[in-house]
This record gives sequence, C-alpha cells and structure tokens, in this order.
Amino acid sequence: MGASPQTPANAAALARPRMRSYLALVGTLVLLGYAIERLNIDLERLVGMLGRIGTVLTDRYLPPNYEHILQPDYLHSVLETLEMTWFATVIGLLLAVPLAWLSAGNLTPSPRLLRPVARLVIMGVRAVHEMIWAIILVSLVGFGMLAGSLALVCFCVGFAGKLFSESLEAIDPGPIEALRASGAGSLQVFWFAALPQVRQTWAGISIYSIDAVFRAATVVGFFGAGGMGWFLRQSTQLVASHDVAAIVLSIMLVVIVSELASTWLRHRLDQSPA
Amino acid sequence: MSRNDAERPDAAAAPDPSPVLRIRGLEARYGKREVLRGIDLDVARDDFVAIIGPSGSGKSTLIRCINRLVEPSGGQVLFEGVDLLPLTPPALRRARRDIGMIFQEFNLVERMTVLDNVVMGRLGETGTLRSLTRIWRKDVVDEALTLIARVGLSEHARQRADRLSGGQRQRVGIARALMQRPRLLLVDEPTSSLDPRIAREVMMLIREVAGERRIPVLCNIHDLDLALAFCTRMVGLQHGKARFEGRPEALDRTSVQHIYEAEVL
Repeated sequence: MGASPQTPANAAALARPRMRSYLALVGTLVLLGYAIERLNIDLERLVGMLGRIGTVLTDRYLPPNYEHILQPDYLHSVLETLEMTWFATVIGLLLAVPLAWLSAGNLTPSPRLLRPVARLVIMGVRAVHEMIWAIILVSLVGFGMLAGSLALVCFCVGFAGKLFSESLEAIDPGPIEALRASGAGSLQVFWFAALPQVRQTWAGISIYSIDAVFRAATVVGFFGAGGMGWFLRQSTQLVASHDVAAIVLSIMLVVIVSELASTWLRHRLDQSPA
Repeated sequence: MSRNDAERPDAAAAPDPSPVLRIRGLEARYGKREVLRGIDLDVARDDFVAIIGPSGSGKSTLIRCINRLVEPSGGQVLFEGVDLLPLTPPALRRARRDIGMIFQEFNLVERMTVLDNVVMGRLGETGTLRSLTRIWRKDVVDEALTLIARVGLSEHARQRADRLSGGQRQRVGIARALMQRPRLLLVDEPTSSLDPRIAREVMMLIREVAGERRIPVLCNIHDLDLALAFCTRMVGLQHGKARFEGRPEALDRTSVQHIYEAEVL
C-alpha cells in the first residue's frame, strides 16, 4: 500500500502523541507542586500525626464501648440501614435501566430529545453527593428513612445509570444492525440485541450497586435521614469517643461483610454460563 | 430439492423482467467525502446481482443505503415501486421487514441459541409487548425449525450461536434473513470471514434458497471468481460510480483492470 514508515509524514504522526504525553506529565507535576505550595502542607505536623495516632487511639477511643452498639435502638438502626439499602437499590436499578437505554448513543430511540434528557438526569443526580441529597431531602420530606431512601435512590440511579449506559455503548454493533435491518423496533433491538450482551455485566454492576448504596446508607443518617448514621452523629457531638469507636467498628464490620458477600456473588456469576 | 440443481433463472416459471428494486441517482456522503456519486441500478425478480469493486469503492454503503442503515444524501430507492428514502421511521420499519440482510460478520446474538437467532427474523412482524415476553407462536417456531433444517443445522438448533463455526454461523444468518419471508435479499460480503471451500458452500446455499423462493439478490463481493460463478449480472463500482454493468460473460480483462485500477496501481 502507501508510504514506508520512515517517511517524514509518518514520523511526525508517531512523534506527536509522545510529545503530548510528556507535556501532560510535566503539567501534572507542575500542578501538584502548586497545590502543595498553596495548601501549605506542614511536613512536621504530618510526621507528628503518625506519632500521635497511638496515644489518641488508646487515650480517647479504646476500648470501644461495645454495649452501645448492642442496645436495641442501635441494632434497629442497622436493620433500617439494610432496609433502605435494599429499597433504594431495587428502585434505583429499575429507574437506571430505561435511563441507560435512552442515553446510550447506539440504542436510543430519540437521539435529539430523550437522549439529552436522560443524560441530564443521570449527570444531575451524580453531580450532587449523596450526603447533600440527604440534606436536601430531609428539608423536603422531614427526618427519617423516607428522606434517606430517596437520597440513596438518587445515588443509585446516578451510579448504576452511568455504568449501565457505558456498558451498552461498548457492545458489538453487529446484532443491533441486523435487527434494525429486519424492521425491529428500538425497544426490541434493545431487548434482543443489547440485553443478552450486557446481562452478565449488568448483574455484576447491580451487585456492586448494592455494595455502594449500603456504604452510603451507613452515613446518610448523619443528617437525620434514617439508619445508623444518626447514632454516629449523636456520639460525636457528645464527644462519647468510646461509643464512636464502637459505631465506626460496627460500620466497618458490616461494610466488609457486604463487600465479601458481593465479591463472592460476582465471582459465582463470572463462572456461571450466561 | 433437485429442482434448483438446474440452471437458474430459466428453471423458474417465466422470467419476470420488471424491477423489484430500482435505484436512481443514489448519492451518499460521510461528512464532506462523497461515497456514492449517482448510482443507477435495477434488480429484477430473478436477478442475482453481484456488486464488485475495490475496497473503499462504496459497495457496503450502497447496500446499506437501500434499507437506510446509512442515510443517502440524494436520489431514489424504489422498492416495489415505493421510494424508501422519504419514509417515516414506522413506514421504514415496515418496508425493512420485506428486505432480508446477510452480513459479513454474521451479526448474530452470540449468547442466544440458533433457534432464538432465527426466530428474531420475525421480530418486525411481532408486536413489541408480545415479543418482550419471548413466548413465540408455535407456527413461528415451526417455521424457524424448518429453515434451520433447510440450511443444514437441525442438530444445532438449541445450541448457542457462539459454539458454531464461521460457516455454520453464516447459515444461521441466512435462515434469519429467510425468516422475514423477504422479497429482496441484501448480502454484504457474505464470504469474507470464511475459508474458500466454506465460502463456496455459503454462496451456493444463498443462490439455492433465493432460487427456491424467487427472491432477488443484491450481493457485495470482492472475490471476483465467486462473483463470476454465482451471479447473473454484475455491477462494478469504482469511487462511488458504476463503471461496468452486464452479464458476467461480458466482463473481460479490460473492464476488470478498469474497475480495479486504483488497486492495481
């Protein structure tokens, strides 16, 4: 075919991206240096922190007050956290599926109208942190699990919607083209050409969502949106450090358990035939 | 079965010269680049038309402009007398049901069974809500099984498509296209992903099933020998323009040189 790789034109084509990546590296380092300078990070304090960790832990937080996390009220709030997680994940995933379909460039039935709307919804819910959703929703619907659940739904829609949509855009376009050519409608194309290709990925994303929503659920209560976070707030405000330690430990414990469970589930999924 | 061993199209009843597909002044562009520059082409009921030409000559675009997988920028595509280019999306979907398509990369849903893939050829005819349940009418399933038998895959009907060899997958693609009961077959480089012996078998099968049903075929193919062996008429494309049109016997060395000029150089 065309020119050999030694021609000047090709040499330039090869050199340009390399030059660009050097520039990117230099730029990153310059920005890092600027940030350190501006933040005025005091190395002495940083090193001093390491020495203090031990004393602070033993003086203030140890031993954790295990009785605090065994009281019925607290255990009840753990249960509430699980309930919110389940509700928000199921509803969030159900909302994320149509949004992902509408916003995937290769499958959307309405590229000019519904696609931008769906993308805006997904980006919108993601732009606001789940804690801020909790604050907003508490002010709208009052304290309690409803506010927390809705905040978590928003989080789940943004989280799963983006991942669902990205996985749809990465599928093999061949079957889509084939079904379109046979006169199938866009919902049929999504259902028959796209879903079989993403089913396994989506199952993995769904399990991952439960995990992420649960982690968020443990803290939305900090602003009164239900669940165990409320107890964390009370104890920190009362400077009941031994209670705080116990609560933090219990949060870590449940998050680790849920992560182990989801890792195990996803592993099982990878090995099962589609 | 033996009926189509005889030479097509003379074996069929009476030759029907009126065109099923009539293309006039078809133009297409990708951005500023003109890919098709005024194509005229007729395909009659008993035609097996091969479109030949070097890569980049617009063969694939031409085929895709007919069912508007690629939107043409001008001209007319008359299918059974109706211009497809101004159709609204629902009307276009209805027209597409009557036009089967076979692809270079087969374009099967790999994780579904052969039967599922073939039945999908009938999606356009099936109501959306009904199709979502994936419960197919018995006569549709029976018809699919008959077609699967016709293409020689009965033993594999319940297997997943990704378990099959390339040649077998293309047979599934053929059965899926026939499931539409098409009145025109568009075929895009059906053999490029196959080895030579299988390629010949696949071309043979396409010609047979099209002959049995009197479906006209428009087939992109860059392999000149296969084109000469199977088609009744040839169109040579070069830079988006038709440079040759006629019966395969009429294609001499000079016309080939002419069509492939860009590649020979």
